[in-house]
Amino acid sequence: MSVLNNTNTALDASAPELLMDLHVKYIQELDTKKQDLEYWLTEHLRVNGLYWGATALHILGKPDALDHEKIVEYLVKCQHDNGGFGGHIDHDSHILSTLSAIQVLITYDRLDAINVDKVVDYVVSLQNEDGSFSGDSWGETDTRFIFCAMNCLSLLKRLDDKRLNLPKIIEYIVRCRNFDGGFGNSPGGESHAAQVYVCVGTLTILGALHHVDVEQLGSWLSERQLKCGGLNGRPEKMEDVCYSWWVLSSLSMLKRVHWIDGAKLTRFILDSQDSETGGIADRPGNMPDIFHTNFGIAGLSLLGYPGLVAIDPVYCMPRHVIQRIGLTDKH
Amino acid sequence: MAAEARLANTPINSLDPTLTKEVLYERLVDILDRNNIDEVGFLPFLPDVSDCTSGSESGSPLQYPYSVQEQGTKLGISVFCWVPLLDESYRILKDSIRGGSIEEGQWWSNPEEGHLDPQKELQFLNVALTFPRNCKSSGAWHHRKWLLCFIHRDHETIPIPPSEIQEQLRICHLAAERYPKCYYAWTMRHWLVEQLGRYWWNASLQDEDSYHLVQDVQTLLPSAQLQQGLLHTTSTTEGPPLRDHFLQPLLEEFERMKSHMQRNVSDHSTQQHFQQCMIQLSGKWIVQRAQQDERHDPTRAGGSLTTVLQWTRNDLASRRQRRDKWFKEHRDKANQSGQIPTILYRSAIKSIAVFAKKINAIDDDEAWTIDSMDADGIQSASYSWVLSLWISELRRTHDLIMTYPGHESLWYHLRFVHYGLRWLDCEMDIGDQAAASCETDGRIVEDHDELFISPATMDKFLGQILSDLTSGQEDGETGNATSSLTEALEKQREYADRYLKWVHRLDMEADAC
Repeated sequence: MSVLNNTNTALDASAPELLMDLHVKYIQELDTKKQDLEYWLTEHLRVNGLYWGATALHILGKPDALDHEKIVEYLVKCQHDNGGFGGHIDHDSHILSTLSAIQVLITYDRLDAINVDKVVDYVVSLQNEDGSFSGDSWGETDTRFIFCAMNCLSLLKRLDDKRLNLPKIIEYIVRCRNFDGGFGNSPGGESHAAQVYVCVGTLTILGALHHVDVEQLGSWLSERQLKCGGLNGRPEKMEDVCYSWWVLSSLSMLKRVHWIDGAKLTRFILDSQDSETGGIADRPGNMPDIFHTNFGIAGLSLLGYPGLVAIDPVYCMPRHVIQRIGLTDKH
Repeated sequence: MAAEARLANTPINSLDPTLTKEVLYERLVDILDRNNIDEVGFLPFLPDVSDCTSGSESGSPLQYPYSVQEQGTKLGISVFCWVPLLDESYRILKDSIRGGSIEEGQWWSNPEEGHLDPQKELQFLNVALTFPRNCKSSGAWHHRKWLLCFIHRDHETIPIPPSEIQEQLRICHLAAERYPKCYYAWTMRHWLVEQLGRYWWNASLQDEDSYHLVQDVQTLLPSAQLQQGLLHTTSTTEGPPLRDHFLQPLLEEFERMKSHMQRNVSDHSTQQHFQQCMIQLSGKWIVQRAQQDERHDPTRAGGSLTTVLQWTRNDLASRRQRRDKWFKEHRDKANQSGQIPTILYRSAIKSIAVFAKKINAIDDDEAWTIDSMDADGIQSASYSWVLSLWISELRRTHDLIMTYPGHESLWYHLRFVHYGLRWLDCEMDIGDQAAASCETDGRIVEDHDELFISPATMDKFLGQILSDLTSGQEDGETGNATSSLTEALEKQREYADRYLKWVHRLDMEADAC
């Protein structure tokens, strides 16, 4: 079975093409700019950056563009005794980087390199009594962290861990649901497309999507599309390429991708490429970065852009990887 | 940021070889120790030595390349310093952690031993926030909340002093001015008003049978805590009730947000926080009882209340069906019994209007403004007072939409107000007013089955919108309207259409996936 998209999205004939080879080169050269300000400011995101880079390369059909062994070796150094992974070597464990590390290791089929039981122990230890999850031992809570936990444990096939209280988790997510159908980062938090993704993703993984008002939420998500074709995350905010993922994957889980104009969105993402250095920015004319590069390419894959590997909308990983590990399609 | 990043990537010692990262770090620490900095900004250039000696208390040339102004309160850092400072301070932090001079879990216990003082840490966070990019950091806001909860470890049972909450609200407001729509700043702000609202809430939930408040918050607190002056009051018998210490700052925040919203009509985050203030002030009338925390204990000060709005279309439909069932039963009974004809209202809001003798004032704006309600209405968290809050807001939102056409956020806010009024209009638990009957003069009066707000009642407002759009379109065709006004009116039409669809969807049953 082909891992590539087998649908053709309607393309604007005047739209630029996806500069696949240039983006591969951009990703490969990321770790060479060690004296740049952004390199410093993003040190705590190094492991997340690896996930974004590795995923983008896989969707571009170049899974071997980075050295697998070096990556695995680096990730092993980022794992702490408590089982969690830090954002970089010597950085404290955090659930965000733990998920990213597991996603990369599974994508490269190298879970054998780490202690999986300890990862599970770490993730489970972050659950709070009210059903929320902390990001780390210092207690910050956010629905993102719930999704990281569920995503991670689902990938590791450990959602049946007796220490977990799944009904409480669902109850907490429902408390974060707002009257407009959207979800926030905490009870009462403003509806935000990224929070919608993590909450809908959590409910999808846990088989609890009946708590979502599909019509209300689908309409709210479709109203994120602006005249330029790009999507924003909240009313009256600017368009941003990363919402091509957060909004589109949510609509995909709700079976409502057709509620936005895919051709206009495709054009917007393609216009946000940097034709000199490669990479994709948050919007046309801005500097590219690996975060927007990954989610722009992921969005194009969900839209069925030809030549791209199909992506799973729940896990944001290549669909063939999710199938390889035996997880059923969640959408 | 792209221009700043390009500048920051220029090695500073190519501009001045004496400025090594060690020198930059030591001078910065010295400046922070010897001055009372309350604001930090960045300079997109490397200042001259002479510019760095003016305005500081010490006038020392060793401040170069930093600029200290306004009697040592304002600090300017050249963008060229960023990378070397990050490099050096990170090295020192890692060395400190490896050297064990910061012990996890004992950071705050003893300032004399070189640990961190939480109050000073809060002040440092205030300074860090003056740099707009820092407002986006979720870690910084969580750290602030963590510090407050550390300083007030028992905040679940003993309230954080309202004065402290007001100070933190002030910081959040400054952050909103510097970096609007910062998600984590607003989330913190919601948490702060929730701390104020919880005592107000608890009071409004005390009496299950009547909407009048029967207990003061003070009766929920052990007297020993009051003697310790934790709530900054010297006596429980003098001055206003303790609940006012929480209600007053909440009302102030509500008014502040109303004004902020007026000046920021396209800021959805502002409106969402304003909605949180409305929710906190509305108490039990807005949140479903089923969503209250099962650990709720009325004898526990503040309780563990879930003040979260849990409205769904299906819940609204169930609520509507319950009231409609009551309406039908009472109407049928009245028709069969041959008693004095009565007026029954399907709408709980109209029922209250009858009971409060406001029947002629349903459309009278003055009758429904908050100021027109007496003080007792506020203090008792009465249904009537809450209604006036929401109806006033409906009018105000209509005015804002007509005054500032084409702002999506305002239309979203209208959805919220519409939803709230639909919710309130189905209220059953308003005592004798549920029947809302009043004797007539013997005439048979038809039952009133119109709701207070529905697609049918929106004609006047939408008619005005359409009229504005039509005259705007005509101006556009004759060249009398600017292109920005034309664009705003186009958006206004689009948002009005979406709003209508949303209202119609409210009455449809929700399907899940």
